[in-house]
Amino acid sequence: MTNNIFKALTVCVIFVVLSISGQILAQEKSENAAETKAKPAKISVEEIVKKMDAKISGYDDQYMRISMNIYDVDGKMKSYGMEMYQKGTEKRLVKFTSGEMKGFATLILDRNNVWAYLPAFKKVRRVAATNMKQSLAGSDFTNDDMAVGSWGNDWDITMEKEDEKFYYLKAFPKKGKNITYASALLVVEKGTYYQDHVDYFNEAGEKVKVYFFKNLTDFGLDIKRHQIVGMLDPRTGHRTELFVHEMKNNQGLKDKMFTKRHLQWGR
Amino acid sequence: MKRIFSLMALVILVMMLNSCGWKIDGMDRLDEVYPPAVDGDCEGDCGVDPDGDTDVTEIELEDVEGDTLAGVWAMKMSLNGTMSPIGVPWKINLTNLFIVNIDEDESQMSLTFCDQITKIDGSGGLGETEIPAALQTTMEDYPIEIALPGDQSVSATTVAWTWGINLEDPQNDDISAVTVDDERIFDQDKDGNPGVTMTVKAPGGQRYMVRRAVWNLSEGTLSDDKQLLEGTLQFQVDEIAVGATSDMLMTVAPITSDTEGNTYALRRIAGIELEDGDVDGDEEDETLVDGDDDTEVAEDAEEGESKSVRFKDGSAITCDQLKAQYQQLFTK
Amino acid sequence: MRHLRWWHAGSVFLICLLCMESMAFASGKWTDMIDFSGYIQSDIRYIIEDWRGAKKGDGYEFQKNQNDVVLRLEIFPHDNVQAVIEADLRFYGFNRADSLYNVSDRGTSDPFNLQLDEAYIHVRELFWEWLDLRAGRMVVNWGTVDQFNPTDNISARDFSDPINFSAKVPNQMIELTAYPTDWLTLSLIWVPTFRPAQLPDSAPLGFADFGFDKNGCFATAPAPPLTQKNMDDLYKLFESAGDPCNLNFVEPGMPIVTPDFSMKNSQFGAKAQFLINDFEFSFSYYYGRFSFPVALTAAALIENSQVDPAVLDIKYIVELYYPRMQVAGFDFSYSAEWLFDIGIVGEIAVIFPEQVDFGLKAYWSGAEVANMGNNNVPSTPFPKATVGIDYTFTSWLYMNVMYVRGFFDEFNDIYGVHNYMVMAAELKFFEDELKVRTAAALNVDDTSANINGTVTWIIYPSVEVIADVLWFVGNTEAKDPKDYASKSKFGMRAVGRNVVSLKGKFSW
Repeated sequence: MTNNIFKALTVCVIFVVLSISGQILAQEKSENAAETKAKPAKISVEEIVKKMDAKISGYDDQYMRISMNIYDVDGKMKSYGMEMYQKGTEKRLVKFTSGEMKGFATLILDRNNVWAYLPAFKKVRRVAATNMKQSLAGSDFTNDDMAVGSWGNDWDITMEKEDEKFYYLKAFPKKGKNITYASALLVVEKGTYYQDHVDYFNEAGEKVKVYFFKNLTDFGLDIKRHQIVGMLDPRTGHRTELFVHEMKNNQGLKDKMFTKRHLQWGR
Repeated sequence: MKRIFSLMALVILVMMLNSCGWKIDGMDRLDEVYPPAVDGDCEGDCGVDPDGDTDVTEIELEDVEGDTLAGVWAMKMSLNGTMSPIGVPWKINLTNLFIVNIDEDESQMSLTFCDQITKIDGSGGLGETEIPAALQTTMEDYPIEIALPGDQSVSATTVAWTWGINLEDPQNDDISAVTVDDERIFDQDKDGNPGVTMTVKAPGGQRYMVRRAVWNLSEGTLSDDKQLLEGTLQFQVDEIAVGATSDMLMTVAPITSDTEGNTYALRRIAGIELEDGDVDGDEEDETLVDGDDDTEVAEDAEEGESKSVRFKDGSAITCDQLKAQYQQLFTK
Repeated sequence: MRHLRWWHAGSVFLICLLCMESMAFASGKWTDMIDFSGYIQSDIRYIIEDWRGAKKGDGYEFQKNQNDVVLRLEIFPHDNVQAVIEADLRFYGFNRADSLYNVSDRGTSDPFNLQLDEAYIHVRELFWEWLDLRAGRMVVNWGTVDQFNPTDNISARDFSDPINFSAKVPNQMIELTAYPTDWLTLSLIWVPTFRPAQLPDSAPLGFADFGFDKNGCFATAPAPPLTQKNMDDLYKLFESAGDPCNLNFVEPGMPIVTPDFSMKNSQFGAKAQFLINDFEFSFSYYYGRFSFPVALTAAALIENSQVDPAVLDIKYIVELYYPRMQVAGFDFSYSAEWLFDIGIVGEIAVIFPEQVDFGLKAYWSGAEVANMGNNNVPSTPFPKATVGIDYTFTSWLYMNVMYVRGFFDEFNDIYGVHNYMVMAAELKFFEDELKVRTAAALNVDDTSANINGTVTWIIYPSVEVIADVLWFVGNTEAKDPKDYASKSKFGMRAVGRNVVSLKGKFSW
């Protein structure tokens, strides 16, 4: 009998040990799993912004063929063809390829160094910083919006909150950066670091613009971007969508393409 | 880059040096587009050509002796003044030509009008006038009589000469307000128009006018050879248009006479008018033979003796001859 | 035999190769090389007054009924080569057939012309990476300011349409541009032959604008650039001619002394443009001619009328001239961050002119009866300048204000160089579908003005309807008819008519 009890006890101990071990192991696993889920929350804001910027401009250069579709509140749409070339995060060349704006081109070297080619006058004219507030062809994008470079360089960004899906980053323009908006709320998808949308606010705290993204698309050659990038005016319901027909990155675009010399060239 | 800048600067410098003294003159340009007429460059009817042939007999100027002033003289009166029809003062010269007959007793000289030549400097011909034939012929019937002292001189005297108007006091009557209805005006040249008719060269047309000239003649000086009598004068001319072929000719710019430089000169053309056969004044008949053209000469005049030259019709010179040759006649 | 078969095979192969190449070329390659654009535009214009025409009472009628087809072809046979051709086929829209003989002629009843606005070749990286060449018929625009550019003298202005005052006259030229660094651009331009500015139909009134009273009798003569005393003498000449009703002024003549086509009449321009931080500036030099004519001579030819000897026929001939000049220029543009982001632009040009002495003569039946002269343009250098600021208040409101010293056609002649304030405001509505632009140029010295209002409605992208009104404020008569300098800049009839215009435009 003693042998039996010992055997039973041993089995029990082993069972208990195993159970406890298993629980411990399970707990450890869950703790690990929990740890794994919680890791994104622990990434710094700088890191988030860096990754987010990389998704937008993390290429040596970019080329996009775009239709700018402008929707009024009745749903009526007008469309302009555009081509956009970008090198790094700052240099951008935007050309209109259709409509009454055809031939009009803007060269953005930085926010204070913007040039426009006016085909009617056959002249390259400097765009004063104040004129950056003007809308682009009546769209919800201003010239300033088209000159957006790196979030990290232009904005002071802090974490406002996060949830399971998104980071909510509060952004204020850096000192010395002449940005139209008083503040912005960036909503960044966790894990992918794609922007979901950006809310822009004026001085009064009123939401004046929403920058949104739709249709994440594989453009080939490992280029995954949102096919529709839009701007909505929440006050009126008016919106503009940039529909990307074609995108090519890292084509070796030369610096000389982003010069006044090239601006008048026409292509 | 330095080379490029240097080259640009050099080119600019060369261009700037090349452009020193750039100038264009509108007056030169006008002369280029509308070249001014040169003397002798006349087209069309240019009047008497001093270098060309005249159809009048040249007067042979041989000395004509005379111990007195009696005889026939050619007279030139040169009057100078200014007029400003367009506000710009123009120099005007009036040359009056007369044939003067001084009678045997030298009591008076009778001036028969031949022509008045008008020259205006700087007007390009604007305002110049011409005596039409009708006026000249008429004036032969209205000689100017000037009394002489009878001592072979012409004394200082004042003469008033009127055209187309009868004045009670020709020297002093005011004619500035005369109009075409004035009763004193008469058609002197009998052409049917009041006053006298003057031809205006530019602007072209005819002006019917009355005129009064007052001459203050100084004492004349006779040359030693008694061929030339000269003196000075002051003058005043008043002219009023009483009609014209165009309105613009109704304006007559007044002439302001110069105080100096107005002269008169008489050139002896022939001695006293002799009786037939008496050529040398000795009251004896000489045999006259025909001379050149219409002249008569003494057949037996000694060589070196002066000869009277006279025309068969009794005159010694015609107005046409005087008009054609007055410049030679009065050249010393 | 074997040899022949080999030859056949080779030939067939070669032909196939060529065909393949052709097909590839025809199928798409050539379309990549060209860019075809243009617009068609109709312009109906109506004169809305009757006091600014050549004859009082002329007005309230259509001034334009024009259609333009502008075709632009850009060809890129190579990455560094571009050929541009732009042509304007213009139909004037007014029937000119005034006789049964030409009613059947379409060219007379529906006149048109074809203008070549641009035809040039542009070569980048010619021999060196930093050198570009453009040659052919083109328009060159220098300067930083909008419209009023005293340093911009290479291409003359086209004011044949006073509403469209940004237009330029194309000309053949060769332009070399060097980009030795990213902050320096050097340009050299040579223009073989001179082309002057195009002027509006009313321009002759600036030189031969006779005034008549209500009976149609002569009242005033156009004041030439003479002194007051000269003018008094001239009027005395007119008075001496008698009744003004007997003065018949026939159609005045306005010949222009055009420069011959010798090398010395070429034009030359050089420019060095710098970009230092945010400040862009340039120095420029121009050698050539002023593109607007100045008065050189006036001749009054007076003759007795053949029809009525009481009448004088007077032909007034004003001869005009394009004076030579050199221009030393400086321009800049700057965006003042420290001053509300205002854009500041400016230009100053020092002009070294050719001296122009004016001469006037009157000839009566061929004889000179009057002459007078005066210096019209002194040889003293003089400046022209423009300074402007522009500001965007909101996305829908933009304003631009400029001070201008010396209008386009001013050359320091007897009229002088005047001061102007130019203001423009642009409002945008309905997402830029409707734009309203108002602009005014005010002559500060004589308080005359030119006001222009434009409403543009973009019905659809590429389709625009544009309504314009142009209005001149100022006295049509000079303060003193004898004083050349007393004319009202925008009041004088030579500058144009008060009009409204309606345009429809489709572009692609």
